[in-house]
Amino acid sequence: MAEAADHLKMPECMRLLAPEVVGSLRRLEWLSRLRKQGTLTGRHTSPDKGVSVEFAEHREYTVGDDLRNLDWRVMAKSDRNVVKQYIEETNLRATMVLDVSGSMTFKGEQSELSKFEYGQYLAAALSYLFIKQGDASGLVTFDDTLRTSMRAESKPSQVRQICEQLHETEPGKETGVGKVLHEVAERIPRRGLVVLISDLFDDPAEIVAALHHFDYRQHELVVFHVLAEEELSFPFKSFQRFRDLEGVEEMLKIDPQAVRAAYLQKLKDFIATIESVCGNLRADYVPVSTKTPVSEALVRYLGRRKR
Amino acid sequence: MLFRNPWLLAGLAGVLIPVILHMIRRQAAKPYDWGAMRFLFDTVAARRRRMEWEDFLLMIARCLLIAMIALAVARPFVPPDSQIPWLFVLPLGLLGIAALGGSFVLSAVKLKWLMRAAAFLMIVGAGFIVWQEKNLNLKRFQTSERRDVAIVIDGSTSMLLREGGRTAFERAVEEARNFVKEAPKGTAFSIVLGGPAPELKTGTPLTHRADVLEVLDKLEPVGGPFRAHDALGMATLSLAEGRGSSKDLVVFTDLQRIGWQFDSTTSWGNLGDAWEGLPNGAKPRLLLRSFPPPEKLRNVSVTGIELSREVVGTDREVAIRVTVENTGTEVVTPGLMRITVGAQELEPKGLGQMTPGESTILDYRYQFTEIGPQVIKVDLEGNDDLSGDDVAERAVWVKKTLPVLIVEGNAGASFFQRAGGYLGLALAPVSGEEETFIDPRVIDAAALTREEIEKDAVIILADVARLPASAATRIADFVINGGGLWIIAGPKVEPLFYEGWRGGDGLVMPLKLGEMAFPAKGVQAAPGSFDHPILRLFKDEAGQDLGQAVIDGYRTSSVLVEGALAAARYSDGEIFLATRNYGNGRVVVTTTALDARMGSLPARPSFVPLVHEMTNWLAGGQTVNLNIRASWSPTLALPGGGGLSAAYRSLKKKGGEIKRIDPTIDFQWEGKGPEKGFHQDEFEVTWTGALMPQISGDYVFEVTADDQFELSFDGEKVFESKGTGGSSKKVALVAGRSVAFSARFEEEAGDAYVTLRWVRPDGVKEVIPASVFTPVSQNDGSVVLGESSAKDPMGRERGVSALLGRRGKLLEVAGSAIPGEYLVGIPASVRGLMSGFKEVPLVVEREGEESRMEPWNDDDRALIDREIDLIELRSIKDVLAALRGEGFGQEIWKILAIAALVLLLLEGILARWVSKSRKAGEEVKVDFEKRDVIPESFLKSVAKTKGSKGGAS
Repeated sequence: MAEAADHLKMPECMRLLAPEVVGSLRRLEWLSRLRKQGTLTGRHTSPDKGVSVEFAEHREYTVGDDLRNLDWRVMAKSDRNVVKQYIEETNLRATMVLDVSGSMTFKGEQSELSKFEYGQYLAAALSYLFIKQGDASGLVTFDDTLRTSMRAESKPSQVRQICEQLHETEPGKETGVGKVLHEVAERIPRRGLVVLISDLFDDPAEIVAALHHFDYRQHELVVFHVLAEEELSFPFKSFQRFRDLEGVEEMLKIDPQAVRAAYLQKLKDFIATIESVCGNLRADYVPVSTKTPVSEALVRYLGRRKR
Repeated sequence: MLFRNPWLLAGLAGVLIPVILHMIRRQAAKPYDWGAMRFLFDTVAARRRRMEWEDFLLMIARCLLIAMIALAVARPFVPPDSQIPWLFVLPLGLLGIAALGGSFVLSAVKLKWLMRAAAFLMIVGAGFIVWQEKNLNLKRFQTSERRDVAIVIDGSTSMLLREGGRTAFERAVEEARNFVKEAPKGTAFSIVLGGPAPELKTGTPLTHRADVLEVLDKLEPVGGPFRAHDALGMATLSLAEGRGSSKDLVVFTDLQRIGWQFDSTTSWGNLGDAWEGLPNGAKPRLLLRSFPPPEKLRNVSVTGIELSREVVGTDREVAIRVTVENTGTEVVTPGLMRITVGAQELEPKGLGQMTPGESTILDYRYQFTEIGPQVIKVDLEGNDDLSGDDVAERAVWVKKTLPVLIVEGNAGASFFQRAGGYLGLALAPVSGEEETFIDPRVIDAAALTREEIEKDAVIILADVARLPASAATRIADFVINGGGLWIIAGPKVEPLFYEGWRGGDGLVMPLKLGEMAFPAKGVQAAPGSFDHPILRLFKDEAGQDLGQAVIDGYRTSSVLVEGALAAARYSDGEIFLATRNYGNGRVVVTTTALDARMGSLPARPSFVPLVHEMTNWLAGGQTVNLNIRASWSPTLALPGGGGLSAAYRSLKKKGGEIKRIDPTIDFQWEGKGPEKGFHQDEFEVTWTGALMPQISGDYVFEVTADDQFELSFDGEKVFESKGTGGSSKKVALVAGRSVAFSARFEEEAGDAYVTLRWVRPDGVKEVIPASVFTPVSQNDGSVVLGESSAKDPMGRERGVSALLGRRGKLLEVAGSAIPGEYLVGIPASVRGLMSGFKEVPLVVEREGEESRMEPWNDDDRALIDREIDLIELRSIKDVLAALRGEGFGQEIWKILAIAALVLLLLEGILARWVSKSRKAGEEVKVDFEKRDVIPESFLKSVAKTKGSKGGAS
């Protein structure tokens, strides 16, 4: 009933929020790990020092500080003039960064969704999650340039706006992940949550540099590495002509069986690189195959975050 | 390199099949939109070269496989005088095809097109060369090229086989005519008619077709065997004279095996050498147009005529035995057999049905009435397919008398103790006016030296102790010239003399005589041991009593001389009769005396027939055999043998000249001249010839001569004498080696005598026997003694020459020896040897084997193939095609087929290996999603809230 009602009432873009996804997310929440700014009613702690609940650290007294924050115990013990600083609970500012380059349009036979569509669904679900729990959610799309950018807002209509944006976005051509991500990192205000949804098909060195940039900007980074099943298993048997979705490389006419082993090895190495970089940066690396339903993938991940 | 089925070369287009398949496979793959290109690209770039190589090799293997099969199917061959090595053209073409196929696999565009350009050049190049070769081949078809073709047509009897109304010979000539008409321009023909002796019917090879056709029209079969080997030799000689650059032999024959000399590899080797030695280096081919005999052959043939006695007189009947054989494959019922002797026809006889392989013998009895040479002719109505062998002839020389000389060695004894007496009686039982055939006369041994023996047929030495040296020499010469000698070794003989009795053919005696033996109870002749034609009547015990005669004494004997036969033995094993051939004549020895002294043999009724048989056989050597085998030209050996060529020249103005053969130099002319009409004074005689001694060693020559004499060997003077005589120094001579002999005698006046003797190394002094002389020395050719003409079986005239050759006197009929009856005129100079007859029939025997159509077998073909390219053809069209070079040469499709097979294997192995190595990547897996365990409680809580719709995911 509600589905029918939804269908009548809601605009087309809302298809991106499938009922079962919504159903799964109803009970889930996104727990932030990093200190956050802000004093509002979000669930996340903020590193901003201010009048808040949790004590963070001490600081030397300077003229002008609020005398109410002086920590008398320390002064008594150490004869130093220190001021308490508190972690402020504030809003989580999440920005979905969605790769809409040509390579994302790959669909394959084993999945109903292309990587792009998968990313759309994923971004929509996540934005719903954030908004539902009172955090802000924004969206950035990119291919070889920044395509669209929506500031993270926490108002309820943000979900719908994000969905509209997602719905209207057409996948582009080439990827230029590395370069663009630097720009994205700069654009997003400090210390936000960045959820990167991409296949990361670009020069690994550039990607690594971009990810470091995010870390430098003190973002919490979650990388949803979306790949298609075919890309992971390379199941081709007979002679194929591979056409570049990004329109950059020439068509390759090859016997797939001859290159399978080497391709998979390369892919393996690539994934390992990304994974290790993310590990170094303490970013969450979430490998997702488009074969796995969006809801399942999210449930699994969120479940993991809880621990 | 050319192709037998050039249109099948279109199959080469099949080479494109793998290429097309490859293209389809590539094209069929629809473009697959792919995102992870970067990984592929790097990978592919690394492996691309290797993959391309693998694909390249596979592709060229497949293309070459198909190309080789297509080429093999088009039946490539290398024409015999191919200018361009096929080992170059073939790989070139194949390389081009491989390059073309392979180019479709490569991805580098420049390389691709470079390869295609190279492939194009190579294929076009190879094709061009092959096309050129075909043109060059064709050019031989055109005026500028001269070819020589020698046509050999088998004219043997077997070619007279009728099939479908025509003989094989007629068909062969017809085909030869067609061949000549349609042969390429610039061909020069020579025609050889094959037979017992080949005849070259053209001069140098003719190019004018009309002339050649005329020759062919005049050809007639000759009959007899086809001496193919000789015909080929003649054909090869004629080819050598031609100016053409390519030479071929075309032989029309029925492939009958005899005459081809397949058992003699050396003679074929010689022919092979001749073929290789042809000028212009053109090795000829042997194109064989065979007319094989039909499967069903109806043929009977007269295979032989035999007489029961060798020496035939007019005194009694002779049995004539004719053998007829069915040599075909079907049953034949011949008609009547007619037989004529001279002009007289005998009663014809009929034959019954004959199955294949069956032979029938017909006996006739006839008593000759005419003296001299006659021909027995048999003509059978064969009712068969081959009539050439239904006729046979045999020539017989009927003698008037058989003069026999009996030399009595026991002259003083009584009649019963003289072997000569008994023998005389036995040989001519009835004395009186009636003339008997055998004409014996008995003389004492002492009178032998003065007796003329040259006219006798047989000499019997009846228990003669020894002979004077001159008599021994004369008798030895007599036997060599064909006479018969019967030595009766009784008690009086001196074994030592007989042991040392030598002549021109070695030891005269077949046996070495020993002591007399006198067995107590006597011995008998053992019929079981009889092994000689003389004794054929006595082998059967019934009807004769030779085996019952008791012999009381005999000479033991031992050690037969080489070539001698023990014809009969006594019951105790000792030899009774021994025989040997000596020169042209025969010698018999009986070891018992054949008179009353030695037993009862002369008293037995069998004695007379025995003596007659003995004499008959002994006389056989002297008969002129008028039946000769077919060979180059019919040649009759004349009686009389050794001696020197003598040239008598009168030094007077009016005197004459005589040329003759003198057996020895032993003349006592006294006051008379050498011959009637020749002046007795002032003449010179020159004897020339060759001397070949029997014993090696030093010889001393002695002459008693009035007036002058000189002797030279090999051009060097050995000695001379003036006046009465003289002797020479020792001259060393080698047994078996002949030296040129030349002697000159000059008579001025008065008595004339000259006798040349020698002292042999063994001490014997004798007149140099005729047997060591030959009238011509090695260096001279034959001396022509006279000429006349003859008529051959086909009625044509032939020239006849009487020659004096190294082997004695010959009468030669010019031309080839066609079988049948010839009538030969005898030149005046040798009429004396032929008993004065002016004309003598001569029979060239038909070879019985010719009737047996024994075909070639594979070994025969292999033998010829070793020496020359042998190509058997079944029609004249094929012969012409072969001539034009269409399709005959070394076939190489087998090589291509084997290579294709190898490639097939290789391709299979390669494809398997490639697919295996490419499949190796299947095991690699990428672990991607984290599948760590999520707590049940969490999942449960999630499940609860997944909305009222859908439930758990």
